[in-house]
Amino acid sequence: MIKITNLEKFYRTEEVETIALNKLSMEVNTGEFVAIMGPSGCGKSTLLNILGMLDDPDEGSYVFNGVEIAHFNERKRADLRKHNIGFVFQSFNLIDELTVFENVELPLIYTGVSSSERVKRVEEVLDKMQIMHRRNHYPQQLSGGQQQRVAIARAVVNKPKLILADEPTGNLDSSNGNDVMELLTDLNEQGTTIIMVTHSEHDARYSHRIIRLLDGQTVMENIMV
Amino acid sequence: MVKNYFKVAIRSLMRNKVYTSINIIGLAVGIATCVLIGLFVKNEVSFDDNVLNSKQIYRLNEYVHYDGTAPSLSAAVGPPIAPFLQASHNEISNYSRVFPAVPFIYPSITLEYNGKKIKTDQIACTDTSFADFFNVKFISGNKANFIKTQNSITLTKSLAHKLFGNESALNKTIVLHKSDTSATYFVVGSIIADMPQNSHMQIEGLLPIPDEFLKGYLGDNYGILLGPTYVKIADNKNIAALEQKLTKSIHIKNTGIDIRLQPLSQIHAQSVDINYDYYNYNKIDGKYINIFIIIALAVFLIGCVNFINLTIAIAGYRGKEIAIKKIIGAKRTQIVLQVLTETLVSVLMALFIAVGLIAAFLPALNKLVNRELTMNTLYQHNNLLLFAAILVFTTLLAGAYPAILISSAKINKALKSKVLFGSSKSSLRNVLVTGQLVIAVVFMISLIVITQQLKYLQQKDLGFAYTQIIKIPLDTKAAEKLTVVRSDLAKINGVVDVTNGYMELGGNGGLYGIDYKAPNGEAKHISVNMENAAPNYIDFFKMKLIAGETFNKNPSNQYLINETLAKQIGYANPVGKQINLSGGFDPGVIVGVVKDFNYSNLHSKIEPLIISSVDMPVWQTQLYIKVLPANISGTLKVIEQTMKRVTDDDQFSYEFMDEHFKQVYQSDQQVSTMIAIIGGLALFISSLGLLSLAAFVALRRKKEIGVRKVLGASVINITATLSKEFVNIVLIAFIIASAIGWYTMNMWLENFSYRIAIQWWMFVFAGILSLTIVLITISFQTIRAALANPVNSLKNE
Repeated sequence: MIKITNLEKFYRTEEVETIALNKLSMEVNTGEFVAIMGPSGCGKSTLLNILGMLDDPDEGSYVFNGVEIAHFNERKRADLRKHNIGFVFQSFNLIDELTVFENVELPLIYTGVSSSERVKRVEEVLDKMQIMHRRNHYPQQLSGGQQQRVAIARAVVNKPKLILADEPTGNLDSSNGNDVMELLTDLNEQGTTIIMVTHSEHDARYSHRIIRLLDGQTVMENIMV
Repeated sequence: MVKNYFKVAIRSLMRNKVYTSINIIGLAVGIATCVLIGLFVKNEVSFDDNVLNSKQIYRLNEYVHYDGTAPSLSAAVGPPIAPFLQASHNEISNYSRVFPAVPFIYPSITLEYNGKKIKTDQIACTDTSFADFFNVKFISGNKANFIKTQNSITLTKSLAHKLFGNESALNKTIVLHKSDTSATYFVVGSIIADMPQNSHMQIEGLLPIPDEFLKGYLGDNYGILLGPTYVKIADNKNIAALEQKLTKSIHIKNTGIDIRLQPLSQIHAQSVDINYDYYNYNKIDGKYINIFIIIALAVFLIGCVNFINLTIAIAGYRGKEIAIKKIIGAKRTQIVLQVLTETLVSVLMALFIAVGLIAAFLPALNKLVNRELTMNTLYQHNNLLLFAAILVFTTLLAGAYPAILISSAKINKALKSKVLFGSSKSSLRNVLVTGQLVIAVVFMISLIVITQQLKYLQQKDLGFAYTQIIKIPLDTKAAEKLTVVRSDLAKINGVVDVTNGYMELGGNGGLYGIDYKAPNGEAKHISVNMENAAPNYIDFFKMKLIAGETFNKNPSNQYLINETLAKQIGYANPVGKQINLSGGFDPGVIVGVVKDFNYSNLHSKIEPLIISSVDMPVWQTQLYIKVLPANISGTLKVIEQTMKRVTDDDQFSYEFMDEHFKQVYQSDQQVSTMIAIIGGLALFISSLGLLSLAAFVALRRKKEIGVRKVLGASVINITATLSKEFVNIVLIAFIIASAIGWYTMNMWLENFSYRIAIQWWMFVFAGILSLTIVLITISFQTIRAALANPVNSLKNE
């Protein structure tokens, strides 16, 4: 599904150039659950942003589902993104002005799904995430665990092929964290590819494979049994 | 999708209640001001457009240029001119003459019915074509009966109501008193609607022009300036050529006048320089209309700029929301539409508030500009469309830039930082705020200059004393008893002195021909302004003589002239030289030269003037009474009783001369009041904009403020640091505004022959005032930012 080759990304300030990704290459197959680990500043987030088409690389190739997208402009990337990728963040990033239902509905609105179909699909996914009873609440009225469920519901409502999760349990206690990891595992078992950035060895164990980064390069790959 | 836009828009507006309110109020005030001025302007430019074929109707003006006089444009012309020109020119298909019935045709007019008497000078003698020319609406009677016979009168509805009450007036016979000795019966042939408020022609009643008057000396006089004449010209493609043709023809009769044709639509707003402009009471200087349009647009622009600033400032907090929307698939156009929808909702709310504001302030505006503007026109079909256009236009103007800016935010940055835009984007905002301030400071400078000029006009020595003087208009009936009137009034306790005159001080003089011999022996005939005064006139008004002496006991062939006329006649010492009024007066002599005094107003220069002292009732139309300041109301009461008793007239009206002079500058005063109000509003809206900008700056520099405080900066240090940015903005705005203000105010001052010089302190004053207002406004934000606990601001970063 994903093949990146010699990917490079630099950050420049007036005097210093920092290398975030240094000729990084990796492959992720459809249906895989990959965890990316590494210390702060190793390039995890940069990598996730590029994988998620939120940012573009300076050098190298990024092939997504057989299409080279490294040179795509923002509009094309956005189009590809909204049909294929769902995001889960550490800080949930729900929109405060919208209810649970409306937050989850938003991606469907942007992809032009009809109103009746939207209701059906949002209810389905809220049901699955077990937060149907909170559908009319606003994010600030929910616990962290509930907010992350809503965020995951929003990420999957469009039935994306790939979910990118950036420390999805980072703001949660261990019990809620485990619930979230179970949800992601379930999604993976139903066929969704998942790439997750994490600091937690515990969470990483839910994955099939751990890629460890240091200074923008792969230093080790662990295949989980 | 659309529903979602509105839903999110309303919620996100609700979330920032304070900013949203500021935003909407600023815009509403801008729109309301703009619409109010728009209503006024629309009314002014719509004058006389309700007349059928209005484009074919012209007022026949005269460019009067008798030898030796300053040429001037007159709206009043002689009675035979129109018939003469029509007979020889096919282009003129019809004409209508509208002559004031009083004082030239009838000495005075009092209408009487069933013992009820109404005195009016708002009656005109006209031709039957008047009904067509001014599209008269008949309430009872019809066009066929419109002043059909010599004894037929037409009344407006309100005059008919005054005289007849609820009784039907049609075909009733009334008595028309021309003086206390002569009266005629007239039949009310028709009742017409009052002239529309947007017609320049304001009359109360109409009479035919008497046949015997037309045959008399005045009626057959090409040179007299009697009243306006309107002509219909169907083929109006080349008016300039026609003017030349008509002028050539009229020179057969009188070489001192040229014909000018003024389109009906221009009479209201382009007649400021025209003299003897009867009936055109509410005329306005067209220049002011343009100024008002510019002002309205400026205030509207300020409101929009404000809106843009605030929207961008608020958007600074919306990084997360925008980023998330983009991540989960919003296209850029969808973000743009989202922001535009929010703007649309705000503008819609602003429009509703604006309509409320308009309704609330329309009466005040009407009072200020002396009009009867209504809101009805706002709800007409066209204007609803106009509102829709304002809605769309304002939405695009105020929303487009924020929408493009917000939607262009990079996801990464937006997600990470609380503030969406860095300092680079604030430069445009600075430009916008500077622009707002420029407009506000220009208003301020204008206001200072206008106020000073008006103060100067009111305090300027006119060359004669007019305080504590009451002016009473005299009709011929009263003038015939002038000796008794004067001696009885002089006996009243509290009355210092009494005199009388002919011209209206502070208004138009009357032109009259004079004959004299120039120093080279050539006989001269010229027209000059003429005053006919009582012998004590010069002493009464404390005017100064620079040569000779004033009238003596038997002044009927003695003349005083003013300095300007003395210069024009050309003798080193004109005293003792021969001069006389044209038209059968005995030869007279110049007895003295009066120092120039401003008998008209300070808009115009002093022109040549001759003062005669002939004892003729028609030239004794103004009575002046000097009173003691103590117990004026008591004195007035006795004066009223005396006047009523002596003249046997139950009507009494008077005016204090200083009040009269105030009125002369009324339209200038109106402009100054309007600029004061609008300038205040502009400043208010600009302040709202500054408030938001200050909030934004405080947010942007939150960390910096925190660090500075940790390092030991005091609240005052921080406030000063934050204020510095704004001081620069004010300085730049002040420099630009000074240039604009200097230019526009010089242009305005050119309207006055007597004017102040613009002085440096006016600019400094405006500058200091605006700086103070700005600093006070932003201090709400800067002090708050400076007082904040640095621990919090640093932790948040």
